[in-house]
Amino acid sequence: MKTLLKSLSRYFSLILFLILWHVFAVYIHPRFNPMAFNILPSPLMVVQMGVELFNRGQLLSHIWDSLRRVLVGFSLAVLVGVFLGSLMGLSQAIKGRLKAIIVILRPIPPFAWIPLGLIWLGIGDAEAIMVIFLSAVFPVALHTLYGIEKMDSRLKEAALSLGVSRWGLFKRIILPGILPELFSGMRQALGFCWIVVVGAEMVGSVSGLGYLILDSRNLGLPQMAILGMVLVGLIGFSMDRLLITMKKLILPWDIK
Amino acid sequence: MKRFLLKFFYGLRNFDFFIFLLICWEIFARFIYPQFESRAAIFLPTFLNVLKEFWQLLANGILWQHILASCKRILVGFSLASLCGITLGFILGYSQRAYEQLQGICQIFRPVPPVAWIPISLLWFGITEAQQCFIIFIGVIFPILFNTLDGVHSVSSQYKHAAQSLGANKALLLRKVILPAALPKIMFGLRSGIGYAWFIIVAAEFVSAPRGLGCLILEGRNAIITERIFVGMIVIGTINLLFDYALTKLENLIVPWQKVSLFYEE
Repeated sequence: MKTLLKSLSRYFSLILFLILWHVFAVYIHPRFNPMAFNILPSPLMVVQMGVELFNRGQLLSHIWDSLRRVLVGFSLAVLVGVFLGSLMGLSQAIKGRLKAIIVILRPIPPFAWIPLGLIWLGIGDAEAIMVIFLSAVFPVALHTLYGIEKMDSRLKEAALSLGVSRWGLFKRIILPGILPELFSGMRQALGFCWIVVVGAEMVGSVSGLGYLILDSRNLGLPQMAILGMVLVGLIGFSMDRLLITMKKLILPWDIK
Repeated sequence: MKRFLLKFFYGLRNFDFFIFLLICWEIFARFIYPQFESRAAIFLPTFLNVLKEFWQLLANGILWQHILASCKRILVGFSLASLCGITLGFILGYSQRAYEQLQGICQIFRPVPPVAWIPISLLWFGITEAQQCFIIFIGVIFPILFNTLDGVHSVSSQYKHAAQSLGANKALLLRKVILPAALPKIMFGLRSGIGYAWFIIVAAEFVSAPRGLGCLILEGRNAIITERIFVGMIVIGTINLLFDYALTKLENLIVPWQKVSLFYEE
């Protein structure tokens, strides 16, 4: 009983928010606006919409489409980002040159790449993956670089004087050394990815959660838009949690 | 002046690879690509054609209209969001009770991408300036709010106790102890906020705007003038960089005890 009350008080503001929303949408708003449900649906209508889409099998396929794009684009970005970051960390000359390119490319918003992606790759997965990749690769590369720069150079020198090979140096010294920084870069990148996938699917795609959200406007079903927002928020939040849990498992010595 | 020029050219030395890439692009798009692709001009315009398009748009004044429209939206949305975000951040950071109750609601809205608000905000506001500003507001307020909160929470309690034992009242404590201690974090929030604003405005203008840089890019796509897309991207990138530069300089003025170096000065 006590734990129940405690958890209730934790979610008190959420429950209050839902009740207020329901009361406003069902009892107050329709009084002075005959089109009320077309502007602000009640929370129950959102749930109903979710159940209906789930029964038709569309919900899971939309979620899977978005997730697939994010996962592919994000993994590619992590691979390329770590590679570029390590290159920059190893050589001063490469660092300066790549930084000059990053300075110019990074301020360009990922969404601005969407039309180019559409022209180059057409509508579909490839375009979304390209935009997601571009949004995630810079944070990963820069955090990798910071991780290498922050590392104690004595570790590297000790390993070298004990006769480690190049690959061994990377595997045993550099990779564990940059992991804490890499994880914070990956968290930031994943946050970007999840914003970008919604925008990319709104403009150039015919499936995915972003499409679901934009399609609601064409169908005149605002509850579908809110359903999409809730799902996107929930999935983004749980992916972030997943990364934090992974970090705790992989890096038990780096506790913050 | 001489020092500045020296520094400028010293910084430029790193751009040799970039200029090399630009020349490669020009040669590839002008001489090689059209050999085996008849629609080369659509897929990849040459760099000089992009510059020509930029000059044309600049000369007939269209570009300025787009830039002004976007900047106006950003400034309105950003100032409103920073006002609300900093105030809310201070309230949440200062009062434990407000933190417990309001933090939950903020945490619900935070993970929802600002772009996802576009259709529902179109229902509420219609295709208006207010809708664009709302999207920017929603996108910018959370980084500012949570950084402010973080800043207020990170103030060492020793400073607070010291001030209180010397007889500082609440207003004085807030003004003389908490505000300066939280400033670096707040400025960091503002800086990431302006980055987010430019990030989001493109998507917001894609979906609904008669004018603006995002609209310029979409126009280029609909009319299949690929040069225009490149012009839009370059202009947005440059303005974003300038805003970041200005805010970093401002930050170093306001918070001189914590120097933040620009990314490209390191």
